[in-house]
Amino acid sequence: MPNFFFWNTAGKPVEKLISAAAESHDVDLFLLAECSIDTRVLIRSLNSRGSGYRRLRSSLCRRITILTRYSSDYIRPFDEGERYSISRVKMPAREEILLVSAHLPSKLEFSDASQAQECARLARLIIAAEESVGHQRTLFMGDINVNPFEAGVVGAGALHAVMTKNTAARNSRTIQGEDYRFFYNPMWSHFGDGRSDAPPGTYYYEKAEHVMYFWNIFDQVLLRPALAGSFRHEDLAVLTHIGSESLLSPNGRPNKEVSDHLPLLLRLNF
Amino acid sequence: MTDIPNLWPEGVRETTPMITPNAIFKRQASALADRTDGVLQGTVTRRVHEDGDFVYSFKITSTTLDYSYELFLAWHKPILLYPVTCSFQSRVTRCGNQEELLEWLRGVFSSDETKRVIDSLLAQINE
Repeated sequence: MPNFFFWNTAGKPVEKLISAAAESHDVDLFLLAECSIDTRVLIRSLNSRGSGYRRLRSSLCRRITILTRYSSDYIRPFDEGERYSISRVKMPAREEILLVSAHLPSKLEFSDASQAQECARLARLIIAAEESVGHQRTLFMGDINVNPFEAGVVGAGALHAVMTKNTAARNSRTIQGEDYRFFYNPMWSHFGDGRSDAPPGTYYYEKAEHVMYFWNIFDQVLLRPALAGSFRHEDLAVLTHIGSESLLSPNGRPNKEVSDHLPLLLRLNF
Repeated sequence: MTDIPNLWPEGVRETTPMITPNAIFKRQASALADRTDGVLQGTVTRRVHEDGDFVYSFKITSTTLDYSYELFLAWHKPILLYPVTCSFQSRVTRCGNQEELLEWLRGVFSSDETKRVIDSLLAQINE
């Protein structure tokens, strides 16, 4: 099964960790946000053990770096912009999927309402791509800088991503005569400290104000119902270690010297 | 009965010629095809935002590669064509009239970022 790895690297020189992740998690495709590592340095590090990774040169999105060890014939960018990338992924003996990634404006840049509008815009771009290619086998992996419970993610006119497969399996719902297709958002299961082997979120933020979540899940995997059926919870992880190196500080929060975001690892059969 | 006068001025139909942002974007979209012998095209889509604004997305498209790249966004109030607010590479610029919009577009089209996108697409097409 293909392994997908998403990480907002926060502009840090983490090429050795990315290389270690490739080896320890058998990663087939990397999606990196805020990656400022020189491509040659990154590729050299990744291929130091002869793995054959390459940057997807046909992708022009500046904010998302795509690296893969698959043939570039299998992954064709389809619609991109400064902050988003939508690619058609067609591998032998597998049905085509749409692979979407994005790095949307942060809460420092945009208000909650504006962030919701950005999510709605991304949702429209995804729907337009789905209409063009004629299927809805869509996987999203990216940093949308809003939590799964916020309007930009749950809103019908936005990403419309819900917390259970059962709800998403309805494919769409009708509001005021208009149909809105669902995403399934498995990230809901990754909140809090209920599991000893997993962090409470992907991003930590604290400020002396009244409403504060402390742990957030801005980095998310979303699946259309057509792909959600083959998704298994044990195949999605928020990583706290890569190899033997911890990505956390002694206080249990993401180590900002490495990145203030934790990476996502997804194994998906499609 | 007293006649009610027509209060509208004689020259009410004599308006200052104004080109809409939509017309300017569409002209520039087709101009890209002219400049590249049809290898690259510009596409403009317009939608109505929830608050009523008209929002435009300008994409550079290659039918050969089956690929589109969104170069910039612009929006304005539905009745007032100007000012039009434009966003390119996360920089937001307010163009108060068509001259300012044309000047902004000239800067976008001759920018390093646009050159990067076009050069890369042409290189892939010529592979």
